Amino acid sequence: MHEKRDFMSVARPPLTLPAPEATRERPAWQRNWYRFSRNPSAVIGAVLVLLVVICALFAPVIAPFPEHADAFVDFRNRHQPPSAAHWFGTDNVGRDVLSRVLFGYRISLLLVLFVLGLSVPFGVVLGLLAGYAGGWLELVIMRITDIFLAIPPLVMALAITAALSPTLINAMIAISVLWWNWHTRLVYGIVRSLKTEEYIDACRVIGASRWHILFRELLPNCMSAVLVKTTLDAGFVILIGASLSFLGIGAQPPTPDLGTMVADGAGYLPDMWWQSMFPGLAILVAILGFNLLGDGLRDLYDVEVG
Amino acid sequence: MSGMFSTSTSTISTSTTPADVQQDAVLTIQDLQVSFKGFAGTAKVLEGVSLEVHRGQRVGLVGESGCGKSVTMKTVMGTLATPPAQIDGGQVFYRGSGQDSAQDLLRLSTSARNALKGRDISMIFQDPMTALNPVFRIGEQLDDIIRYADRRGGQRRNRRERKARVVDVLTQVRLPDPQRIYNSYPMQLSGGMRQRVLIAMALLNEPTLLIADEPGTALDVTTQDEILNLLNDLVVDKHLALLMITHNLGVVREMTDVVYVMYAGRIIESGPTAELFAAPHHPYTKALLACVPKLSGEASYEGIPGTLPDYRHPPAGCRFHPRCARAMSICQTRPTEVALTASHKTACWLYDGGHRDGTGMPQDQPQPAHQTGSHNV
Amino acid sequence: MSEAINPVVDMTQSVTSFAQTPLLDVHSLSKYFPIRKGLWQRVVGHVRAVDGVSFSLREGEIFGLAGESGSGKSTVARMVVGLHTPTGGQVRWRGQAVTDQQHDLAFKQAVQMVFQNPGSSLNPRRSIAQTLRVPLNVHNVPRAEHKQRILELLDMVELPASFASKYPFELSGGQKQRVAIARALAVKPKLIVLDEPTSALDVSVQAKVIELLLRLRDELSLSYLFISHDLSLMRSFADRVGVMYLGKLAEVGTTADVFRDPKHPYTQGLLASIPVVSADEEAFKPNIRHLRGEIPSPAKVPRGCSFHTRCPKVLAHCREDDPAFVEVGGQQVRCHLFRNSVSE
Repeated sequence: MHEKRDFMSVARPPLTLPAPEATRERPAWQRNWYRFSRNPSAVIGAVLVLLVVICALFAPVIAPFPEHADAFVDFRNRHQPPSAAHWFGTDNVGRDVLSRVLFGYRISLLLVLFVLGLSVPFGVVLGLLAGYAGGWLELVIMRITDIFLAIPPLVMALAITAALSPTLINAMIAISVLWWNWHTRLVYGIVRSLKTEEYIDACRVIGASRWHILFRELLPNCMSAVLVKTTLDAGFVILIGASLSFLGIGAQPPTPDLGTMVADGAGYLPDMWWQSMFPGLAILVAILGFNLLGDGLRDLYDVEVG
Repeated sequence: MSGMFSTSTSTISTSTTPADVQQDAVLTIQDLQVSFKGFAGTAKVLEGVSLEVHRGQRVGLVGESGCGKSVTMKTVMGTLATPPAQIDGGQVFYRGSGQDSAQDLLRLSTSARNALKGRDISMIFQDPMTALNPVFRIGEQLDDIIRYADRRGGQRRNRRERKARVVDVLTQVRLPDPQRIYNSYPMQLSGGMRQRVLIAMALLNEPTLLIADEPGTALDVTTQDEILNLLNDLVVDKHLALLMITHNLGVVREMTDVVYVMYAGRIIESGPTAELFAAPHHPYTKALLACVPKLSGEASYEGIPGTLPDYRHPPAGCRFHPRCARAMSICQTRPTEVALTASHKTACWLYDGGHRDGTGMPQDQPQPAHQTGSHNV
Repeated sequence: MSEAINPVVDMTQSVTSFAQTPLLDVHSLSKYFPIRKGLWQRVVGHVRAVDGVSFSLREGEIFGLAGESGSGKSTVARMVVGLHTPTGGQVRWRGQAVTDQQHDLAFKQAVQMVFQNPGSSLNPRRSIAQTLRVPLNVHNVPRAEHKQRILELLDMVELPASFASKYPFELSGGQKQRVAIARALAVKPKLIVLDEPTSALDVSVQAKVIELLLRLRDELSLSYLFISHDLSLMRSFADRVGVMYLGKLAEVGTTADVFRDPKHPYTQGLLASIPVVSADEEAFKPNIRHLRGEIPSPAKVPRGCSFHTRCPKVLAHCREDDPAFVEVGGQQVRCHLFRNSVSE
């Protein structure tokens, strides 16, 4: 499959004509990078995601008013429209919206890392086990997965955070609880089709351990699909996190959360549009970036992620 | 041979009649050149393929995987994806029954070509498991083909006439209980029956030219044997032209009148099947035949050294020479086709003595006297 | 391995001497796959993929199992290496029943397998060296020796050392099968089960792989259980052959005997249907009416002799009684036609 795709891919004239052997030996990453770079939406997505990550990492350096990220009050400057000093204007207590948006990305990415870092490995391992083992283990894991799939994530997160207390960490836990099952289903499907491959039979004939077959043979073949799905998920997690904060059950003030900022600014619409518009746009950029990148990776790896 | 050359001039604006397309040739491929643009350069996959299929003739195009036989077939059928493929030259002339001049399929408009494909040129696909749509009944799928052909041909048969035609064709392919088959789904039929349905499908519109892509290779030997016998009977009875593309030398020997052997995008030897199999001349044909396991138990496991060349950087001259045990220095230049007998030809320098010494006779045991070094791999 | 030879063998073979103990003995092996239907997945029937197959394979021998799809030849192969658990019967290794193959590492070291499809027999995400390292790890070859062993293995299958770092998509079909053979050789087996190892390859590549397999057999004193539907290949490769039809053996004998004088009507029909490439070979095709119809589904095996639905020489009692094996000439044939010749 790989061979065919490489052969059919569009030509990039080499700068100097390489020897036949050299063209053959060209490493896989170069071909992948070439194909990736020819996909405009993937490149735009990658640039947007990179932008978001840089903003989050270097927020204290980039932000014009880093101290505005937390509880800071400057009533003389409240409700300032966008200007040279405050590109995104100021909010209802006089804080610089741009600075808070930059710090807001930190919260969003933290959420993404926490949720996906917890739920993806958990879901993948369960999917591997269910797909390969079969029998009662498959039955139990997949039925539990089905039950979780039947619950809308936002409703469940609302219920959990409402039952516990409305904090950022509880919101993260709530989302994580709902996220693993998608990866379980994805990996389960891949493993089910891969386990009849002859290289898996060969491993069994050799006497390789179940651990080896699961994590050394099957897992690497699931990784591209998992990577694509995880990238696409990142956008949704940001959206759900922002939705929870918007509803007041996620991050609590004065944490600079994008969802909270949209909610806070919503009261001053439409006159002071910048207070919710710029945080909203920031959410859009992040989601768009992850989705475009995910789509690009999906095209690159040619995987189906449901 | 010149007496058989076509002298008619073109009456269709989209076509030009070649000087040497023979009167009874249904399909004439002339010097076809196809290349593929890829990540690491351009691959010249077909380099001057020429062949002819006459009415009532069974022609085999045989070669190993990657030799370009499928690309040839796709070019004829117009199913080649361009890009990445690109037709660099050559003509594919088609002359149906009752037509007094040949048309170049490559220069025909898509609609004209599709009309031709639906009516005159039919194809039998290789895999009976995937060539039928599993969600429609056999009858519906065959009925559609007649309806589309009618729409293009300006004919209009009613439902009953169409069904009668389908049942008739299903009977012709010796399917038991054609009424039941008409109402069956593909999954309800065995592989052999599905292959018969595919043949019926190809015969529905009474084609002139039948192209068969590896027919029966997905089936067991005993079933394949039955299918090939059926196909053979139909082609002979209906006086069709058959172009069969396969890698199975045994099938070609038993099923065809004329055979073209392809290697790396070129026809390297062609001739009457019985003659070619009895006395193969090109070193590749010889080596290939030697590789086929024999029922007699004679075994030659030498194989052919090396692999198919990289089409992006093919060897100069004869594309087989780096793997050829009898390569000479002259093999670095492309050999021209040499007539060994009236219709048996090969493109090999070993038999081109005639051109150099002027006798015009092929040399059966030429000495590789000009060998300056080993070109073997 | 000589300790492993157990003198206690089945009563039917009580006179078996040391030298005659077969390497592999397949004894009335059966595999029924349940057909499940409905909400509760109730078993409504069985696919009798393999039904009472017995044969033995001597050291250094190439035993071939021939047959069309659905004949059960691959299922036999998979049971021999322990990929399927038999429904009935035994696989014996040097006279000793292999009981729980799943956990018997010594047996897994002795018996290896090469699969049919070069496209799926290597993991696309692992380099050739990584693939070859699996058996070395499993069978506790010291890590320091891995590199050396991998180069040796590649050399054995006539691939250059540079292939170690390549990935499967960079290899041709024939090269992939060579790697698959190297993987099987890594544990120094005695027997390799070859399940249609060349059927996906071109003839010119097939010839070279077969040549390699023959050379390896001589050099490493291997034995092969060779599964193939290609009878011409079977003729020149295998020493003895068993022809299978619908889960049962129809005829067993040396390849020379079976191909020169096939006794079973199925073997004859099979040989008659092979397209051959020379007029000389036509003489080896039995001059009989070609077989009609297709193999019945193994889920609905005809009663009596399972071949009676297609047999051109069918007798009345073929529809009722399943024939037993009889010795005719050099071969064993399971056909009623020869019942009388034995009683005489």
